[in-house]
Amino acid sequence: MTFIHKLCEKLGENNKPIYTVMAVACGKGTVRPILSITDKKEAPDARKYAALRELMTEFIGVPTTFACGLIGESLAGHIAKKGTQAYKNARAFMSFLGICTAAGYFVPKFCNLGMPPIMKKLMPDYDPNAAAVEKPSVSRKPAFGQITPNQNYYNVYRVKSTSPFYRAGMRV
Amino acid sequence: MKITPVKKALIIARNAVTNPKAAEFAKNTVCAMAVETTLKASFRPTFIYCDKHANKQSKKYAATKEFLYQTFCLGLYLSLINPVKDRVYKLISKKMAAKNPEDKRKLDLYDSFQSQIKQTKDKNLKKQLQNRFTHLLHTNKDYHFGKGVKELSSILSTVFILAICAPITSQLVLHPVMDLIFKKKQEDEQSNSPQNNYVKQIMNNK
Repeated sequence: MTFIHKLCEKLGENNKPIYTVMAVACGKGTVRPILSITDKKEAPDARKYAALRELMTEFIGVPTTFACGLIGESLAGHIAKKGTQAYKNARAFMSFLGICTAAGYFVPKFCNLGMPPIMKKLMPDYDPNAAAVEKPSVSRKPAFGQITPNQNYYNVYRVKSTSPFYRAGMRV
Repeated sequence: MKITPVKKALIIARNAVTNPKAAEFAKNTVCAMAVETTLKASFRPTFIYCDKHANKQSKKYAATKEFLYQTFCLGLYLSLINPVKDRVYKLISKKMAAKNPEDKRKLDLYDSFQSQIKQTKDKNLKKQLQNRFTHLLHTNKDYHFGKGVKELSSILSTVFILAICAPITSQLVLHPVMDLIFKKKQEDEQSNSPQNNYVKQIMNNK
């Protein structure tokens, strides 16, 4: 019997949602950091930071999801008698509920709590907030009639600076 | 001995958890992943937005990006999973059947029962066949292999779509969308600034 044959028999007998979630998390943990680090649009430090952050998210996400799934499964014993079909059903559903709780609450919560100190240790000189604020801003030419903050916005009628009315605040 | 009444809500919850249909739903790869991605799309941006470590602008940017990414993943997953899954199943079952005649027999058994269910038009008969098929999947070991190949192809397709396709295509789609949203917002903010409002007012008075 080959490995794939054994795997298929096992999956056919009892497929748990945790297998897929773990497989996807491991795949994302490999592919997303590689994509982030090869993204040429970003600055080298920002790329490194994004890749590390994605890797760490999966590092936190995989064990948390696994643990929540197992805890959910173990709670099935309180709901139905062991060895019965109802117990098997409860085990599958409780494992699914555990994974949902992990995806919806525990993983983002742990990431929020754990990520800033971890990232500060890994990249102490990099400030992500400074980069993030700069990112959405787009340098562009001001539209017609629009005055940029650097200009004197009282000078609406384009009075020359040599004119006697320039500093008098006169509006004709 | 003191007998306490069992609460009705608890009984309903227990029945719901031990329901075979709920278990089937949980065991179904596509359903589980769809629910998980929906939860991620709704809760991850909320948590990012509530993060106290980041400033307001970067939180807004990250939360919008996460929401769009997860929604994009869900859409891509639901639209691609069935065709990809079927192709992967055909590929794996063909290879397995070519290697071992016993595997071929098991796969044929599984496929013929499934096609029989698909071809049946009478609703009652279809339901009966489905119940029988579910019972056979739990009791007959010959059906385990076919179901296992089907589940394996589901898992492989899910990994392919969510872990490989989604990040690559999202980079192509999300960058322009994010630029469009935040560029427009910034333009609006600049055009609504007190300086520009003042200019507009003067122009209108004129």
